[in-house]
Amino acid sequence: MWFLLALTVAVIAITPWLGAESVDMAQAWSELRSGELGRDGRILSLRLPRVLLATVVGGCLAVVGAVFQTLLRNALATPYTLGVSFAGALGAFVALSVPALLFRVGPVASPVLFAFLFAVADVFVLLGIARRRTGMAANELLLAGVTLNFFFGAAILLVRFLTDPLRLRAMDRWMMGGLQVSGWSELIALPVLVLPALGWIAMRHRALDQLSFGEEVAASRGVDVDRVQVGLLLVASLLTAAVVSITGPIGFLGLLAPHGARRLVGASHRLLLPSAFLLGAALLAVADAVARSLSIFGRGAELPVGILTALGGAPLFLLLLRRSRPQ
Amino acid sequence: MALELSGVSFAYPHRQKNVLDEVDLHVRPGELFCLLGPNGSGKSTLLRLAAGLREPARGQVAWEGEPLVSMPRRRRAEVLSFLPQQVEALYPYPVEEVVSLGRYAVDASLPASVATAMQATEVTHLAHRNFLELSGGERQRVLLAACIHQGARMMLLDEPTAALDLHHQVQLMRKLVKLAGEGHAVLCATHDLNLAATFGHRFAMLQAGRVVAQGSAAEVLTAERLTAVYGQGIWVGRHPEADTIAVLPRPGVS
Repeated sequence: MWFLLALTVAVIAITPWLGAESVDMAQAWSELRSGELGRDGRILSLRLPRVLLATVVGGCLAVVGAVFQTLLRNALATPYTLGVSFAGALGAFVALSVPALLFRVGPVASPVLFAFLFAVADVFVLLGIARRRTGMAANELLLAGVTLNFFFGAAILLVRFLTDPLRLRAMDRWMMGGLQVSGWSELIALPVLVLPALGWIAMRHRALDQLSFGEEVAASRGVDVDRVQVGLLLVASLLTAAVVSITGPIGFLGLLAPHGARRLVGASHRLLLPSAFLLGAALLAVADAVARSLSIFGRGAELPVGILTALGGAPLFLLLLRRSRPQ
Repeated sequence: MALELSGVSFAYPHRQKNVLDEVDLHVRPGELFCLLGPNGSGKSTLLRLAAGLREPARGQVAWEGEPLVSMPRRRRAEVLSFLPQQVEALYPYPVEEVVSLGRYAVDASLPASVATAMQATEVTHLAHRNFLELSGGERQRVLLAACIHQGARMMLLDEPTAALDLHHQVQLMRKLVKLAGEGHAVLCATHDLNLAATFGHRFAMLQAGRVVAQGSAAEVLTAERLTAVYGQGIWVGRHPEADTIAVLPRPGVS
């Protein structure tokens, strides 16, 4: 895990200097310190919050993936498989597409609120369908998640169809997943939601280990299975909603980072959860640095990082699967 | 008396037929109690009720007079450990950690340890192996070690010898007898009538959710009873070297 911590720190230190526009390090620092921003200082001041956002978002999506994979006892479970991401995306999409729905409650912007409400609604529908007196029916939960994904996907298309065409480009860009923030103000609400949620999940690492061996085994050893499952699903949904509402859906991290972390530190959640966070953080920060370094196809626009994580993550994940196949 | 089931009936949701019907059973400390019966007779369901994982529709399951329904989860885990027939692990835990996970709710001052539990089921040499890479029999022994490490006074085991070779079947049953000798109560569902007859202290025969016989091997494992439960073609005799009952199929009888 120390290796992952060192890796993430190194990534946070290096990636702000990477991008399509080169930055003179000494000049940028002196401008930042003096407060009189020139070209280099302005670029760095835009990249720093973006790198921080990437680490938080990547880490959160990885932790949520690890939690879902254990709770549902399925290696393919992620916020995407269960429809939580697209439900959150729909919520944020609705708030973004109707000007009257754009407001703030304290530090929390309405897209975050809508994303959370829709994500929680998704989880409650899932629970209503898959919950049994004897525990969670994992297969039904996954099937219901896939179905809800189709539903939310269609609903997003409907909202898109009804939206003012002038707003469409920005919304489409958001749907591709991106970390473009214009400063620190958009990030203020994030720690308020993310830190307690991550702490709450981390405190349940022992229960997650027990659930890795099935609900009956966990219950016979004293785990309050129902309470732990429902609590973790809700908190993981909150985390997903908090990040999706800012960045749009970013795929594959919830799958790739937990599996990569398991290969590095094993399955014990005491190490897995922080390791998955660190790996997810480093992966997304690097992916974002690559995305903004590519002045893609001469269009002068950055490649959305959501496209890059999916394009890069899918083959990498298939490679992992192949290498982990029993000989 | 450690565990007592009194007039217990149970049906799964949305099914009218009872899986268990008016079951009375008690297991005492110091005995290995074998639960016998054909497939679908209700053995696994009975073990789940005895572990407090299901609530009876009628009747009561109690530990030393205290109903399991009202017993806090952590206390229940201190007195009852349960090993289901199949445990499907998804992720690569090392064996030593799988055994240590046996103790979740139990007071850390109890004198059990991972090492002694692993010795008891002969898995010490597997300590650093990946649990997912073990054979079915090795996995079963590791999970039994986790049960022992849990330190509960009663063990509920669902066909613990099903995946084991003969050597490890005998070793495991000897270990269960030893645990019983140390004051544990052991309730073990099994299809192996000979192993049960050789090592068990008391027996119950289930058929279609009802206890049709209960008592010593001589009282339960009779030719008449086994024929009634399993059908024709069963020979019941005495072991030629030990004073135990032996059960064999009769060749040519269907």
